[in-house]
Amino acid sequence: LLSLLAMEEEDRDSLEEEHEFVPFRERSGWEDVVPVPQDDGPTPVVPIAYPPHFVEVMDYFRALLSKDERSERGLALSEEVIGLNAANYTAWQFRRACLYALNKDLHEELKWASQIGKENPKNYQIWHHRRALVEKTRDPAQELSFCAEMVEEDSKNYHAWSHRQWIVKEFDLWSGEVDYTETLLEKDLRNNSAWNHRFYVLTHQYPPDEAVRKAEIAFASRYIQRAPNNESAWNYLKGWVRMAESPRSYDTIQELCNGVLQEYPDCRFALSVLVDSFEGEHTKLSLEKAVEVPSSSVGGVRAHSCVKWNPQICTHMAERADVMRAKYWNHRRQNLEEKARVAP
Amino acid sequence: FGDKWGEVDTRFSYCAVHCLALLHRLTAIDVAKAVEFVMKCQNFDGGFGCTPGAETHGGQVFCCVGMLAIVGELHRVNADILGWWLAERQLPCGGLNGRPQKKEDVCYSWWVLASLCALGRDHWIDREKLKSFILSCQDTESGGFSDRPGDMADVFHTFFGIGGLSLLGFPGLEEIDPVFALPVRTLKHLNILWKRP
Repeated sequence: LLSLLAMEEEDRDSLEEEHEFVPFRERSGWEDVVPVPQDDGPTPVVPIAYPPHFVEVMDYFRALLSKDERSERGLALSEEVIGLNAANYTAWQFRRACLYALNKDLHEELKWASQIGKENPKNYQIWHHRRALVEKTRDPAQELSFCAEMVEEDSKNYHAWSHRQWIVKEFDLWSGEVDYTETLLEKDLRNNSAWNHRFYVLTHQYPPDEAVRKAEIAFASRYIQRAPNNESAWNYLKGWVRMAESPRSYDTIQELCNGVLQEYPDCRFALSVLVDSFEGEHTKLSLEKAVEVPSSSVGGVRAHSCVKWNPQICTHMAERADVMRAKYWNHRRQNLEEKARVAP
Repeated sequence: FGDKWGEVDTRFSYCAVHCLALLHRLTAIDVAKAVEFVMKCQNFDGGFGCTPGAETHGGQVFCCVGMLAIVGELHRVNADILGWWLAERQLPCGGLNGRPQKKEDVCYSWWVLASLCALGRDHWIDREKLKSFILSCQDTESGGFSDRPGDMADVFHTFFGIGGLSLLGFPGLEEIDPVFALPVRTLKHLNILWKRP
């Protein structure tokens, strides 16, 4: 018992499996099947030490696969293989083949997939299985709530968000999605996945117009004011700013940045976006002024002094506000100084 | 790119062209269409996800950057914008995360760092700090690497930890190629190369 307790959980599970395992010779209805051993070739490199019950299940699975036997026992066996290794995509593919051949109730299958999906939230094969089934049923009724449930467990589950994106697009279920992202952001305004989904919904349904762009910049700004060091909100903001094709006024952006810097003078996001806005304003602002060297050096760059000394912000980032990425900021500064030299 | 059973993901774009490059058979596919798909997966932050519109993720960025590099289309990526997003993955502890506001994980020392190397922007992070972080992920008893200090080591994170250290020029390691994730020596032997734009 003590040695059992000292074992790793994985090994214990395996032992239990082994213990409960019923050999195929003791199962009725399998007498006709000749198990097919795994062929690792004559000189296998790093052969896996499979436990005996695993070997037997796989040998029988290979036998059915080689005959492409899409039967009830094939279906049952696929579940057993999946139980041993939920990432075995061949088992999942074979399972689907059996389900379709036997004309099984795919809604029931989806219920089972939900159950096993909750236990393996990051398993690619289960999510793909779900998608394949819904592609057949053409019924997305449970999907958004399933994704929401998974996101409730892990707010950034990449598969859940990916699946949600597909469902929304495939079945035209756009309405409610923007509000959904806001609900999640109210729970956690740092949820990068929610920010991304919001951008997705607003840009993949139809090309966004200037009104949407302005509204979303305002939306991001509100969240930035609540929590200035929120990388996701700033990235979201930048995404919309970059989108505009015509020459744009950077006043609102600079106002936002300077506002943040009043309270948080070293907020690297505000400083970075400020630099971007000055660079974007290139044709409007006199870059000669931007290259002016301040007569007094400041410990923290004050908001009102930021406006003109663009390359100085870069130095400040390299030396103080974002030291880890100093080389990037030196590159940025050189770039801007070069632009200033050739400015009209 | 996906398999004939329908799963589509830019990971497969990378794997497919990688294999084809090794076999000197890139002409077997419609490279232009494959590139078109990958570019559709470029997001508002300059990064890439698994499918069009999917969240930018360090692992997917690696796959897309790698794919484009292998087929000679890396110039389509704005290296400054993506390089910056990648550089921002470095956290104060020196480690790298895979998405904004997530935890550091040694495997991103590969995905993110290799991408930076391919784009020629790896000097934009603090390499010494990253090196220290990777080394702190080594389990001094078993010798393997874990996702972050103190966790259990596994082969996956060990590979990426060592790969990252190689990219950082850690002494005594074979030079690894950031696009193919194979020793540079092996690629030379197979006469396979990719060109930085």
